[in-house]
Amino acid sequence: MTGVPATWYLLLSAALFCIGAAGALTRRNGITIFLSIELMLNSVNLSIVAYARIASASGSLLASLDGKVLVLFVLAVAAAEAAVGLALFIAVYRNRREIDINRLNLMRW
Amino acid sequence: MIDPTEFWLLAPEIFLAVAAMLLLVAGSIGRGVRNRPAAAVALLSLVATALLVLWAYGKGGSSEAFLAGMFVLDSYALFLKLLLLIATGLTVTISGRFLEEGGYRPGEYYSLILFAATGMLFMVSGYSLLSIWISLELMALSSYILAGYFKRERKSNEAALKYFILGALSSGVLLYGISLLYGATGTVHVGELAARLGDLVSTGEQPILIAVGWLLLAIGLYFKVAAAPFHVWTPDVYVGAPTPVTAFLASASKIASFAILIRILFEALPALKADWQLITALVACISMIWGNLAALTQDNVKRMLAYSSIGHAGYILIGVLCASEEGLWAVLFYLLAYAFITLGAFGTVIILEQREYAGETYSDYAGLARRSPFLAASMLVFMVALTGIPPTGGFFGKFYLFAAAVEAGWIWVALVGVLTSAISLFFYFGIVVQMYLKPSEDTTPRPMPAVGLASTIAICAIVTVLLGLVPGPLVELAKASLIPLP
Repeated sequence: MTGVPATWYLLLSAALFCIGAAGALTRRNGITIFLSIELMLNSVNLSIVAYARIASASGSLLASLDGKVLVLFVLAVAAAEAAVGLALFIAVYRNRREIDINRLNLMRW
Repeated sequence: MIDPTEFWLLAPEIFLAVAAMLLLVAGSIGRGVRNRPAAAVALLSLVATALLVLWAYGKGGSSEAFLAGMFVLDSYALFLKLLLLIATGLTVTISGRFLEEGGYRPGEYYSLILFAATGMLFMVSGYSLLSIWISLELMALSSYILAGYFKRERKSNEAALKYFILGALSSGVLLYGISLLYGATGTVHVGELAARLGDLVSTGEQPILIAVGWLLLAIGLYFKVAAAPFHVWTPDVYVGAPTPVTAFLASASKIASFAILIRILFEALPALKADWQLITALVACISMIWGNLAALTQDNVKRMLAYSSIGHAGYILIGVLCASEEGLWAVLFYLLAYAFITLGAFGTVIILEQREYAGETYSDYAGLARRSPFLAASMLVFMVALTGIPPTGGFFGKFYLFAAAVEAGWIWVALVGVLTSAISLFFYFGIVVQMYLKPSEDTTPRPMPAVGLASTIAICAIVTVLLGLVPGPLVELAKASLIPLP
Protein backbone atom coordinates (compact mmCIF):
# COMPACT_ATOMS: atom_id res chain seq x y z
CA MET A 1 0.00 0.00 0.00
CA THR A 2 1.39 3.37 -0.99
CA GLY A 3 0.60 6.84 0.29
CA VAL A 4 0.38 8.01 3.87
CA PRO A 5 1.10 5.21 6.36
CA ALA A 6 -1.86 4.29 8.56
CA THR A 7 0.05 5.00 11.75
CA TRP A 8 0.17 8.69 10.85
CA TYR A 9 -3.61 8.75 10.89
CA LEU A 10 -3.59 7.13 14.30
CA LEU A 11 -1.20 9.75 15.64
CA LEU A 12 -3.32 12.52 14.13
CA SER A 13 -6.42 11.03 15.68
CA ALA A 14 -4.74 10.79 19.09
CA ALA A 15 -3.65 14.42 18.78
CA LEU A 16 -7.15 15.55 17.80
CA PHE A 17 -8.63 13.60 20.69
CA CYS A 18 -6.30 15.29 23.15
CA ILE A 19 -7.02 18.74 21.69
CA GLY A 20 -10.74 18.02 21.96
CA ALA A 21 -10.47 16.79 25.54
CA ALA A 22 -8.37 19.79 26.55
CA GLY A 23 -10.85 22.14 24.92
CA ALA A 24 -13.82 20.48 26.57
CA LEU A 25 -12.21 20.74 30.00
CA THR A 26 -10.85 24.29 29.83
CA ARG A 27 -13.24 26.36 27.72
CA ARG A 28 -16.03 28.42 29.24
CA ASN A 29 -18.39 28.96 26.35
CA GLY A 30 -20.92 26.14 26.02
CA ILE A 31 -20.79 26.03 22.25
CA THR A 32 -16.99 25.82 22.22
CA ILE A 33 -17.12 22.96 24.69
CA PHE A 34 -19.65 21.24 22.49
CA LEU A 35 -17.42 21.71 19.43
CA SER A 36 -14.50 20.20 21.32
CA ILE A 37 -16.59 17.16 22.17
CA GLU A 38 -17.55 16.78 18.52
CA LEU A 39 -13.84 16.95 17.69
CA MET A 40 -13.25 14.05 20.10
CA LEU A 41 -15.96 11.95 18.46
CA ASN A 42 -14.57 12.65 15.01
CA SER A 43 -11.05 11.80 16.08
CA VAL A 44 -12.45 8.46 17.18
CA ASN A 45 -13.95 8.01 13.73
CA LEU A 46 -10.60 8.74 12.15
CA SER A 47 -8.88 6.17 14.31
CA ILE A 48 -11.51 3.52 13.60
CA VAL A 49 -11.23 4.10 9.86
CA ALA A 50 -7.44 3.89 10.06
CA TYR A 51 -7.66 0.61 11.95
CA ALA A 52 -10.16 -0.67 9.39
CA ARG A 53 -7.65 0.13 6.67
CA ILE A 54 -4.91 -1.70 8.53
CA ALA A 55 -7.23 -4.68 8.89
CA SER A 56 -8.17 -4.73 5.20
CA ALA A 57 -4.49 -4.35 4.21
CA SER A 58 -3.71 -7.45 6.22
CA GLY A 59 -6.44 -9.28 4.33
CA SER A 60 -9.06 -9.47 7.05
CA LEU A 61 -12.15 -8.18 5.25
CA LEU A 62 -14.62 -9.01 7.99
CA ALA A 63 -12.60 -7.14 10.60
CA SER A 64 -12.37 -4.11 8.36
CA LEU A 65 -16.13 -4.19 7.79
CA ASP A 66 -16.78 -4.15 11.54
CA GLY A 67 -14.96 -0.85 11.83
CA LYS A 68 -16.62 0.77 8.86
CA VAL A 69 -20.06 -0.09 10.18
CA LEU A 70 -19.06 1.26 13.59
CA VAL A 71 -18.08 4.58 12.02
CA LEU A 72 -21.43 4.98 10.29
CA PHE A 73 -23.24 4.43 13.58
CA VAL A 74 -20.97 6.86 15.41
CA LEU A 75 -21.73 9.52 12.79
CA ALA A 76 -25.48 9.01 13.24
CA VAL A 77 -25.31 9.10 17.02
CA ALA A 78 -23.10 12.20 16.95
CA ALA A 79 -25.74 13.93 14.82
CA ALA A 80 -28.48 12.97 17.28
CA GLU A 81 -26.32 14.19 20.12
CA ALA A 82 -25.82 17.51 18.35
CA ALA A 83 -29.57 17.93 18.00
CA VAL A 84 -30.20 17.29 21.70
CA GLY A 85 -27.25 19.40 22.79
CA LEU A 86 -28.14 22.44 20.72
CA ALA A 87 -31.75 22.22 21.91
CA LEU A 88 -30.52 22.28 25.50
CA PHE A 89 -28.30 25.28 24.76
CA ILE A 90 -31.28 27.12 23.32
CA ALA A 91 -33.38 26.31 26.39
CA VAL A 92 -30.64 27.67 28.65
CA TYR A 93 -30.15 30.77 26.51
CA ARG A 94 -33.86 31.57 26.60
CA ASN A 95 -33.87 31.63 30.37
CA ARG A 96 -30.64 33.46 31.05
CA ARG A 97 -29.41 35.10 27.83
CA GLU A 98 -25.95 33.55 28.04
CA ILE A 99 -24.30 30.15 27.90
CA ASP A 100 -21.18 30.80 29.94
CA ILE A 101 -20.57 27.55 31.79
CA ASN A 102 -18.96 29.24 34.79
CA ARG A 103 -22.14 31.16 35.48
CA LEU A 104 -24.17 27.95 35.66
CA ASN A 105 -23.67 27.77 39.38
CA LEU A 106 -27.10 27.69 40.99
CA MET A 107 -26.14 24.41 42.58
CA ARG A 108 -22.87 24.39 44.44
CA TRP A 109 -21.97 23.69 48.03
CA MET B 1 -26.27 -15.16 7.20
CA ILE B 2 -28.88 -13.76 9.61
CA ASP B 3 -31.93 -15.85 10.32
CA PRO B 4 -34.90 -13.41 10.16
CA THR B 5 -36.81 -15.35 12.81
CA GLU B 6 -34.18 -14.19 15.30
CA PHE B 7 -35.83 -10.78 15.27
CA TRP B 8 -38.64 -12.32 17.37
CA LEU B 9 -36.22 -12.40 20.27
CA LEU B 10 -36.12 -8.61 20.13
CA ALA B 11 -39.92 -8.35 20.13
CA PRO B 12 -40.04 -6.66 23.57
CA GLU B 13 -37.64 -3.90 22.59
CA ILE B 14 -39.33 -3.35 19.23
CA PHE B 15 -42.74 -3.22 20.87
CA LEU B 16 -41.59 -0.72 23.48
CA ALA B 17 -39.96 1.51 20.87
CA VAL B 18 -43.16 1.54 18.80
CA ALA B 19 -45.24 2.31 21.90
CA ALA B 20 -42.90 5.21 22.72
CA MET B 21 -43.20 6.60 19.19
CA LEU B 22 -47.00 6.37 19.21
CA LEU B 23 -47.13 8.12 22.56
CA LEU B 24 -44.85 10.83 21.21
CA VAL B 25 -47.09 11.40 18.20
CA ALA B 26 -50.27 11.34 20.30
CA GLY B 27 -48.70 13.79 22.73
CA SER B 28 -47.82 16.25 19.99
CA ILE B 29 -51.11 16.40 18.08
CA GLY B 30 -53.30 19.33 19.04
CA ARG B 31 -53.51 19.75 22.80
CA GLY B 32 -51.83 16.42 23.38
CA VAL B 33 -52.84 13.75 25.85
CA ARG B 34 -53.57 14.31 29.49
CA ASN B 35 -51.49 12.94 32.30
CA ARG B 36 -53.62 10.02 33.43
CA PRO B 37 -54.26 8.42 30.04
CA ALA B 38 -50.62 8.91 29.06
CA ALA B 39 -49.40 7.30 32.27
CA ALA B 40 -51.86 4.44 31.83
CA VAL B 41 -50.66 3.80 28.27
CA ALA B 42 -47.04 3.89 29.42
CA LEU B 43 -47.73 1.46 32.26
CA LEU B 44 -49.67 -0.92 30.03
CA SER B 45 -46.87 -0.91 27.44
CA LEU B 46 -44.36 -1.72 30.16
CA VAL B 47 -46.49 -4.63 31.39
CA ALA B 48 -46.93 -5.92 27.84
CA THR B 49 -43.18 -5.59 27.29
CA ALA B 50 -42.51 -7.60 30.42
CA LEU B 51 -44.79 -10.37 29.14
CA LEU B 52 -43.03 -10.23 25.78
CA VAL B 53 -39.66 -10.52 27.52
CA LEU B 54 -40.83 -13.71 29.23
CA TRP B 55 -42.25 -15.02 25.95
CA ALA B 56 -39.06 -14.26 24.00
CA TYR B 57 -36.94 -15.89 26.68
CA GLY B 58 -39.11 -19.00 26.57
CA LYS B 59 -38.82 -19.04 22.80
CA GLY B 60 -35.08 -18.77 22.43
CA GLY B 61 -33.34 -17.78 25.61
CA SER B 62 -29.77 -19.07 25.67
CA SER B 63 -26.27 -17.78 26.12
CA GLU B 64 -25.71 -17.94 22.35
CA ALA B 65 -25.46 -14.55 20.65
CA PHE B 66 -27.90 -13.93 17.81
CA LEU B 67 -28.36 -11.44 14.94
CA ALA B 68 -24.75 -11.76 13.80
CA GLY B 69 -23.55 -11.72 17.38
CA MET B 70 -25.09 -8.36 18.21
CA PHE B 71 -27.36 -9.45 21.07
CA VAL B 72 -27.75 -12.20 23.60
CA LEU B 73 -30.77 -13.25 25.64
CA ASP B 74 -29.45 -15.15 28.63
CA SER B 75 -30.87 -15.47 32.14
CA TYR B 76 -28.74 -12.50 33.24
CA ALA B 77 -30.43 -10.32 30.61
CA LEU B 78 -33.84 -11.71 31.59
CA PHE B 79 -33.40 -10.85 35.28
CA LEU B 80 -32.17 -7.34 34.53
CA LYS B 81 -34.80 -6.63 31.87
CA LEU B 82 -37.63 -7.48 34.25
CA LEU B 83 -36.00 -5.44 37.01
CA LEU B 84 -35.58 -2.46 34.65
CA LEU B 85 -39.20 -2.67 33.57
CA ILE B 86 -40.35 -2.71 37.20
CA ALA B 87 -38.16 0.30 38.02
CA THR B 88 -39.46 2.17 34.98
CA GLY B 89 -43.05 1.33 35.88
CA LEU B 90 -42.59 2.66 39.43
CA THR B 91 -41.02 5.82 37.95
CA VAL B 92 -44.13 6.32 35.83
CA THR B 93 -46.41 6.03 38.87
CA ILE B 94 -44.51 8.70 40.82
CA SER B 95 -44.31 11.17 37.92
CA GLY B 96 -47.92 12.34 37.65
CA ARG B 97 -48.03 15.06 40.26
CA PHE B 98 -45.07 16.96 38.83
CA LEU B 99 -46.42 17.05 35.32
CA GLU B 100 -49.84 18.23 36.46
CA GLU B 101 -48.54 20.99 38.71
CA GLY B 102 -45.80 22.20 36.40
CA GLY B 103 -48.09 22.35 33.37
CA TYR B 104 -45.65 20.38 31.19
CA ARG B 105 -46.79 18.07 28.43
CA PRO B 106 -47.09 14.52 29.73
CA GLY B 107 -47.12 12.66 26.39
CA GLU B 108 -43.55 13.57 25.53
CA TYR B 109 -42.36 12.93 29.07
CA TYR B 110 -43.66 9.37 29.17
CA SER B 111 -42.47 8.66 25.65
CA LEU B 112 -38.94 9.76 26.63
CA ILE B 113 -39.12 7.47 29.66
CA LEU B 114 -40.13 4.61 27.37
CA PHE B 115 -37.33 5.43 24.90
CA ALA B 116 -34.81 5.39 27.74
CA ALA B 117 -36.24 2.06 28.89
CA THR B 118 -35.90 0.69 25.35
CA GLY B 119 -32.24 1.69 25.37
CA MET B 120 -31.76 -0.03 28.72
CA LEU B 121 -33.37 -3.27 27.53
CA PHE B 122 -31.04 -3.27 24.52
CA MET B 123 -28.07 -2.50 26.77
CA VAL B 124 -28.47 -5.55 28.98
CA SER B 125 -28.85 -7.72 25.88
CA GLY B 126 -25.98 -6.15 23.94
CA TYR B 127 -23.19 -8.54 23.03
CA SER B 128 -21.15 -6.31 20.75
CA LEU B 129 -19.43 -3.10 21.83
CA LEU B 130 -21.28 -1.47 18.93
CA SER B 131 -24.78 -2.47 20.06
CA ILE B 132 -23.94 -1.75 23.69
CA TRP B 133 -22.67 1.73 22.89
CA ILE B 134 -25.62 2.68 20.71
CA SER B 135 -28.19 1.53 23.24
CA LEU B 136 -26.25 3.36 25.94
CA GLU B 137 -26.54 6.53 23.85
CA LEU B 138 -30.28 5.98 23.39
CA MET B 139 -30.66 5.87 27.14
CA ALA B 140 -28.30 8.80 27.70
CA LEU B 141 -29.84 11.12 25.09
CA SER B 142 -33.33 10.50 26.50
CA SER B 143 -32.02 11.14 30.02
CA TYR B 144 -30.42 14.47 29.04
CA ILE B 145 -33.78 15.73 27.80
CA LEU B 146 -35.62 14.33 30.82
CA ALA B 147 -33.21 16.07 33.20
CA GLY B 148 -34.09 19.37 31.52
CA TYR B 149 -37.78 18.65 31.20
CA PHE B 150 -38.77 21.64 33.35
CA LYS B 151 -37.58 23.96 30.66
CA ARG B 152 -38.73 27.13 32.42
CA GLU B 153 -36.78 26.29 35.59
CA ARG B 154 -33.19 27.46 35.58
CA LYS B 155 -32.03 24.63 37.83
CA SER B 156 -33.44 22.03 35.50
CA ASN B 157 -31.75 23.73 32.50
CA GLU B 158 -28.49 23.76 34.34
CA ALA B 159 -28.76 20.11 35.32
CA ALA B 160 -29.50 19.06 31.74
CA LEU B 161 -26.61 21.06 30.31
CA LYS B 162 -24.10 19.75 32.84
CA TYR B 163 -25.35 16.22 32.33
CA PHE B 164 -25.14 16.60 28.56
CA ILE B 165 -21.63 18.05 28.46
CA LEU B 166 -20.13 15.55 30.88
CA GLY B 167 -22.12 12.68 29.41
CA ALA B 168 -20.99 13.45 25.88
CA LEU B 169 -17.42 13.81 27.09
CA SER B 170 -17.56 10.42 28.78
CA SER B 171 -19.09 8.74 25.78
CA GLY B 172 -16.25 10.17 23.65
CA VAL B 173 -13.74 8.66 26.08
CA LEU B 174 -15.59 5.33 26.08
CA LEU B 175 -15.70 5.31 22.31
CA TYR B 176 -12.00 6.03 21.98
CA GLY B 177 -11.40 3.05 24.25
CA ILE B 178 -13.58 0.91 21.98
CA SER B 179 -11.65 2.10 18.91
CA LEU B 180 -8.30 1.19 20.47
CA LEU B 181 -9.53 -2.26 21.48
CA TYR B 182 -10.89 -2.68 17.97
CA GLY B 183 -7.51 -1.67 16.61
CA ALA B 184 -5.73 -4.22 18.78
CA THR B 185 -8.08 -7.14 18.10
CA GLY B 186 -9.94 -6.33 14.88
CA THR B 187 -13.37 -7.06 16.36
CA VAL B 188 -16.05 -5.46 18.53
CA HIS B 189 -17.88 -8.71 19.25
CA VAL B 190 -17.65 -9.42 22.97
CA GLY B 191 -16.89 -13.14 22.71
CA GLU B 192 -14.28 -12.82 19.95
CA LEU B 193 -12.75 -9.81 21.65
CA ALA B 194 -12.20 -11.89 24.78
CA ALA B 195 -10.57 -14.72 22.83
CA ARG B 196 -8.23 -12.45 20.84
CA LEU B 197 -7.33 -10.36 23.87
CA GLY B 198 -6.44 -13.61 25.63
CA ASP B 199 -4.03 -14.49 22.80
CA LEU B 200 -2.53 -11.02 22.67
CA VAL B 201 -2.03 -10.81 26.43
CA SER B 202 -0.41 -14.24 26.62
CA THR B 203 2.05 -13.37 23.83
CA GLY B 204 2.56 -9.85 25.17
CA GLU B 205 1.67 -8.08 21.91
CA GLN B 206 0.25 -4.54 21.70
CA PRO B 207 0.51 -3.90 25.46
CA ILE B 208 0.07 -0.11 25.27
CA LEU B 209 -2.88 -0.19 22.90
CA ILE B 210 -4.71 -2.72 25.07
CA ALA B 211 -3.91 -1.01 28.36
CA VAL B 212 -5.01 2.47 27.21
CA GLY B 213 -8.01 1.02 25.40
CA TRP B 214 -9.54 -0.90 28.28
CA LEU B 215 -8.73 1.87 30.74
CA LEU B 216 -10.59 4.48 28.66
CA LEU B 217 -13.48 2.07 28.17
CA ALA B 218 -13.66 1.40 31.89
CA ILE B 219 -13.47 5.11 32.76
CA GLY B 220 -16.45 5.76 30.49
CA LEU B 221 -18.38 3.02 32.28
CA TYR B 222 -17.43 4.20 35.79
CA PHE B 223 -18.70 7.59 34.76
CA LYS B 224 -22.07 6.13 33.81
CA VAL B 225 -22.49 4.31 37.12
CA ALA B 226 -21.53 7.52 38.95
CA ALA B 227 -18.51 6.14 40.76
CA ALA B 228 -15.95 8.56 42.22
CA PRO B 229 -13.68 10.12 40.97
CA PHE B 230 -15.88 10.21 37.85
CA HIS B 231 -18.97 11.43 39.70
CA VAL B 232 -18.79 15.22 39.28
CA TRP B 233 -22.04 15.35 37.32
CA THR B 234 -24.09 13.39 39.85
CA PRO B 235 -24.92 15.87 42.63
CA ASP B 236 -25.92 18.74 40.35
CA VAL B 237 -27.93 16.58 37.98
CA TYR B 238 -29.73 14.78 40.80
CA VAL B 239 -30.65 18.05 42.49
CA GLY B 240 -31.61 20.01 39.39
CA ALA B 241 -33.55 17.36 37.51
CA PRO B 242 -37.27 16.89 38.24
CA THR B 243 -37.39 14.47 41.18
CA PRO B 244 -39.11 11.58 39.33
CA VAL B 245 -36.33 11.83 36.74
CA THR B 246 -33.76 11.78 39.52
CA ALA B 247 -35.37 8.62 40.85
CA PHE B 248 -35.22 7.13 37.36
CA LEU B 249 -31.53 8.01 36.95
CA ALA B 250 -30.66 6.66 40.38
CA SER B 251 -32.48 3.37 39.87
CA ALA B 252 -33.07 2.20 36.30
CA SER B 253 -30.21 4.07 34.66
CA LYS B 254 -27.79 2.86 37.30
CA ILE B 255 -28.92 -0.75 36.97
CA ALA B 256 -28.48 -0.72 33.19
CA SER B 257 -25.05 0.90 33.47
CA PHE B 258 -23.91 -1.70 35.99
CA ALA B 259 -25.28 -4.41 33.71
CA ILE B 260 -23.03 -3.38 30.82
CA LEU B 261 -20.08 -2.70 33.12
CA ILE B 262 -20.30 -6.29 34.36
CA ARG B 263 -20.94 -7.71 30.90
CA ILE B 264 -17.90 -5.96 29.43
CA LEU B 265 -15.52 -6.63 32.32
CA PHE B 266 -16.55 -10.27 32.73
CA GLU B 267 -17.14 -11.37 29.16
CA ALA B 268 -14.98 -9.06 27.02
CA LEU B 269 -11.99 -8.42 29.27
CA PRO B 270 -11.42 -11.64 31.25
CA ALA B 271 -7.81 -11.65 30.07
CA LEU B 272 -7.20 -8.42 32.01
CA LYS B 273 -8.96 -9.58 35.17
CA ALA B 274 -6.12 -8.78 37.56
CA ASP B 275 -5.80 -5.24 36.18
CA TRP B 276 -9.46 -4.32 36.31
CA GLN B 277 -9.92 -5.87 39.72
CA LEU B 278 -7.31 -3.54 41.13
CA ILE B 279 -8.66 -0.42 39.41
CA THR B 280 -12.22 -1.31 40.39
CA ALA B 281 -11.11 -1.79 44.00
CA LEU B 282 -9.58 1.70 44.02
CA VAL B 283 -12.66 3.24 42.40
CA ALA B 284 -14.94 1.40 44.84
CA CYS B 285 -13.01 2.66 47.88
CA ILE B 286 -12.84 6.26 46.63
CA SER B 287 -16.59 6.16 45.88
CA MET B 288 -17.52 4.77 49.29
CA ILE B 289 -15.30 7.21 51.18
CA TRP B 290 -16.04 10.33 49.14
CA GLY B 291 -19.75 9.63 48.67
CA ASN B 292 -20.39 9.06 52.35
CA LEU B 293 -18.17 11.87 53.64
CA ALA B 294 -19.64 14.43 51.24
CA ALA B 295 -23.16 13.33 52.13
CA LEU B 296 -22.41 14.22 55.75
CA THR B 297 -22.13 17.90 54.94
CA GLN B 298 -25.37 18.32 52.97
CA ASP B 299 -28.53 20.00 54.14
CA ASN B 300 -30.54 19.28 50.99
CA VAL B 301 -32.09 15.82 51.05
CA LYS B 302 -31.88 15.32 47.27
CA ARG B 303 -28.22 16.25 47.29
CA MET B 304 -27.59 13.93 50.23
CA LEU B 305 -29.26 11.10 48.30
CA ALA B 306 -27.08 11.93 45.28
CA TYR B 307 -23.87 11.54 47.32
CA SER B 308 -25.32 8.45 48.94
CA SER B 309 -25.88 6.99 45.47
CA ILE B 310 -22.19 7.56 44.72
CA GLY B 311 -21.38 5.66 47.89
CA HIS B 312 -23.73 2.87 46.92
CA ALA B 313 -22.09 2.63 43.50
CA GLY B 314 -18.94 1.90 45.49
CA TYR B 315 -20.64 -0.87 47.47
CA ILE B 316 -21.95 -2.49 44.29
CA LEU B 317 -18.48 -2.29 42.72
CA ILE B 318 -17.21 -4.43 45.61
CA GLY B 319 -19.29 -7.28 44.26
CA VAL B 320 -18.05 -6.63 40.72
CA LEU B 321 -14.39 -6.68 41.60
CA CYS B 322 -14.67 -10.05 43.36
CA ALA B 323 -15.29 -11.63 39.93
CA SER B 324 -16.80 -14.60 41.76
CA GLU B 325 -20.22 -16.22 41.73
CA GLU B 326 -21.00 -14.91 45.20
CA GLY B 327 -20.03 -11.41 44.15
CA LEU B 328 -22.14 -11.47 41.02
CA TRP B 329 -25.36 -12.66 42.62
CA ALA B 330 -24.81 -10.30 45.51
CA VAL B 331 -24.64 -7.47 42.96
CA LEU B 332 -27.89 -8.57 41.33
CA PHE B 333 -29.56 -8.83 44.74
CA TYR B 334 -28.30 -5.40 45.72
CA LEU B 335 -29.36 -3.79 42.45
CA LEU B 336 -32.92 -5.00 42.98
CA ALA B 337 -33.07 -3.98 46.64
CA TYR B 338 -31.46 -0.62 45.89
CA ALA B 339 -33.93 0.11 43.09
CA PHE B 340 -36.90 -0.26 45.43
CA ILE B 341 -35.21 1.66 48.24
CA THR B 342 -34.23 4.66 46.07
CA LEU B 343 -37.53 4.83 44.23
CA GLY B 344 -39.34 4.81 47.57
CA ALA B 345 -37.05 7.43 49.10
CA PHE B 346 -37.37 9.76 46.14
CA GLY B 347 -41.13 9.14 46.08
CA THR B 348 -41.30 10.44 49.64
CA VAL B 349 -39.19 13.46 48.66
CA ILE B 350 -41.64 14.15 45.83
CA ILE B 351 -44.60 14.28 48.22
CA LEU B 352 -42.89 16.73 50.55
CA GLU B 353 -41.61 18.92 47.74
CA GLN B 354 -43.41 22.03 46.75
CA ARG B 355 -43.21 24.19 43.68
CA GLU B 356 -39.79 25.46 42.65
CA TYR B 357 -37.66 23.07 44.62
CA ALA B 358 -38.85 24.09 48.10
CA GLY B 359 -39.26 21.51 50.83
CA GLU B 360 -36.04 19.67 50.13
CA THR B 361 -34.00 20.54 53.20
CA TYR B 362 -33.61 18.43 56.33
CA SER B 363 -35.57 20.91 58.42
CA ASP B 364 -38.59 20.50 56.15
CA TYR B 365 -38.89 16.98 57.56
CA ALA B 366 -39.28 18.22 61.15
CA GLY B 367 -42.26 16.75 62.95
CA LEU B 368 -43.30 14.63 60.01
CA ALA B 369 -44.14 11.69 62.27
CA ARG B 370 -46.97 13.73 63.80
CA ARG B 371 -48.20 15.20 60.58
CA SER B 372 -48.11 12.07 58.44
CA PRO B 373 -47.23 8.81 60.22
CA PHE B 374 -47.35 6.85 56.96
CA LEU B 375 -44.75 9.00 55.20
CA ALA B 376 -42.50 9.15 58.22
CA ALA B 377 -42.65 5.38 58.71
CA SER B 378 -41.83 4.61 55.08
CA MET B 379 -38.98 7.15 55.02
CA LEU B 380 -37.69 5.48 58.19
CA VAL B 381 -37.71 2.11 56.41
CA PHE B 382 -35.77 3.53 53.44
CA MET B 383 -33.18 5.28 55.60
CA VAL B 384 -32.67 2.14 57.71
CA ALA B 385 -32.27 0.13 54.49
CA LEU B 386 -29.79 2.58 52.97
CA THR B 387 -27.69 2.41 56.12
CA GLY B 388 -27.80 -1.36 55.94
CA ILE B 389 -29.51 -2.26 59.20
CA PRO B 390 -31.74 -5.37 59.52
CA PRO B 391 -34.52 -6.27 58.97
CA THR B 392 -34.35 -4.68 55.52
CA GLY B 393 -33.15 -5.65 52.06
CA GLY B 394 -30.35 -3.13 52.42
CA PHE B 395 -28.81 -5.16 55.24
CA PHE B 396 -28.69 -8.43 53.32
CA GLY B 397 -27.50 -6.65 50.18
CA LYS B 398 -24.50 -5.21 51.97
CA PHE B 399 -23.94 -8.36 53.96
CA TYR B 400 -23.73 -10.53 50.83
CA LEU B 401 -21.43 -8.02 49.10
CA PHE B 402 -19.02 -7.81 52.02
CA ALA B 403 -19.12 -11.58 52.53
CA ALA B 404 -18.25 -12.13 48.87
CA ALA B 405 -15.35 -9.67 49.18
CA VAL B 406 -13.97 -11.45 52.25
CA GLU B 407 -14.31 -14.81 50.55
CA ALA B 408 -12.48 -13.55 47.45
CA GLY B 409 -9.69 -12.15 49.59
CA TRP B 410 -10.48 -8.44 49.30
CA ILE B 411 -10.71 -7.93 53.02
CA TRP B 412 -9.46 -4.34 53.03
CA VAL B 413 -12.16 -3.30 50.58
CA ALA B 414 -14.82 -4.92 52.74
CA LEU B 415 -13.36 -3.12 55.74
CA VAL B 416 -13.70 0.25 54.00
CA GLY B 417 -17.29 -0.71 53.18
CA VAL B 418 -18.16 -1.49 56.79
CA LEU B 419 -16.52 1.68 58.12
CA THR B 420 -18.22 3.96 55.59
CA SER B 421 -21.56 2.29 56.35
CA ALA B 422 -21.06 3.28 59.95
CA ILE B 423 -20.41 6.88 58.86
CA SER B 424 -23.54 6.85 56.74
CA LEU B 425 -25.61 6.24 59.86
CA PHE B 426 -25.19 9.93 60.77
CA PHE B 427 -26.71 11.51 57.72
CA TYR B 428 -29.44 8.95 57.12
CA PHE B 429 -30.54 9.20 60.72
CA GLY B 430 -30.38 12.97 60.54
CA ILE B 431 -33.65 12.71 58.66
CA VAL B 432 -35.10 10.22 61.14
CA VAL B 433 -34.23 12.54 64.03
CA GLN B 434 -35.95 15.43 62.25
CA MET B 435 -39.05 13.36 61.56
CA TYR B 436 -39.51 11.80 64.99
CA LEU B 437 -37.77 14.01 67.54
CA LYS B 438 -37.88 17.61 66.28
CA PRO B 439 -41.14 19.48 66.73
CA SER B 440 -42.43 21.46 63.79
CA GLU B 441 -44.18 24.80 63.77
CA ASP B 442 -46.90 23.49 61.52
CA THR B 443 -48.72 20.61 63.21
CA THR B 444 -51.71 20.26 60.89
CA PRO B 445 -51.93 16.71 59.52
CA ARG B 446 -50.85 16.44 55.89
CA PRO B 447 -53.51 15.36 53.41
CA MET B 448 -53.02 11.81 52.13
CA PRO B 449 -50.94 11.84 48.93
CA ALA B 450 -52.39 10.77 45.60
CA VAL B 451 -53.19 7.06 45.28
CA GLY B 452 -50.46 6.33 42.69
CA LEU B 453 -47.70 7.93 44.72
CA ALA B 454 -48.85 6.49 48.05
CA SER B 455 -49.20 2.97 46.71
CA THR B 456 -45.78 3.14 45.03
CA ILE B 457 -44.14 4.19 48.28
CA ALA B 458 -46.04 1.49 50.16
CA ILE B 459 -44.95 -1.16 47.63
CA CYS B 460 -41.31 -0.05 47.85
CA ALA B 461 -41.40 -0.08 51.67
CA ILE B 462 -43.04 -3.52 51.77
CA VAL B 463 -40.57 -5.01 49.31
CA THR B 464 -37.65 -3.49 51.23
CA VAL B 465 -38.83 -5.07 54.48
CA LEU B 466 -39.77 -8.38 52.83
CA LEU B 467 -36.29 -8.69 51.33
CA GLY B 468 -34.93 -8.27 54.83
CA LEU B 469 -37.20 -10.96 56.28
CA VAL B 470 -37.08 -13.58 53.51
CA PRO B 471 -34.12 -12.90 51.19
CA GLY B 472 -33.98 -16.57 50.14
CA PRO B 473 -36.18 -16.59 47.03
CA LEU B 474 -34.46 -13.57 45.49
CA VAL B 475 -31.05 -15.05 46.23
CA GLU B 476 -32.07 -18.21 44.40
CA LEU B 477 -33.34 -16.12 41.48
CA ALA B 478 -30.11 -14.12 41.33
CA LYS B 479 -28.05 -17.31 41.51
CA ALA B 480 -29.88 -18.58 38.43
CA SER B 481 -29.06 -15.39 36.52
CA LEU B 482 -25.28 -15.43 36.34
CA ILE B 483 -22.99 -14.96 33.36
CA PRO B 484 -19.74 -16.87 32.78
CA LEU B 485 -17.07 -15.74 35.21
CA PRO B 486 -13.78 -14.32 33.95
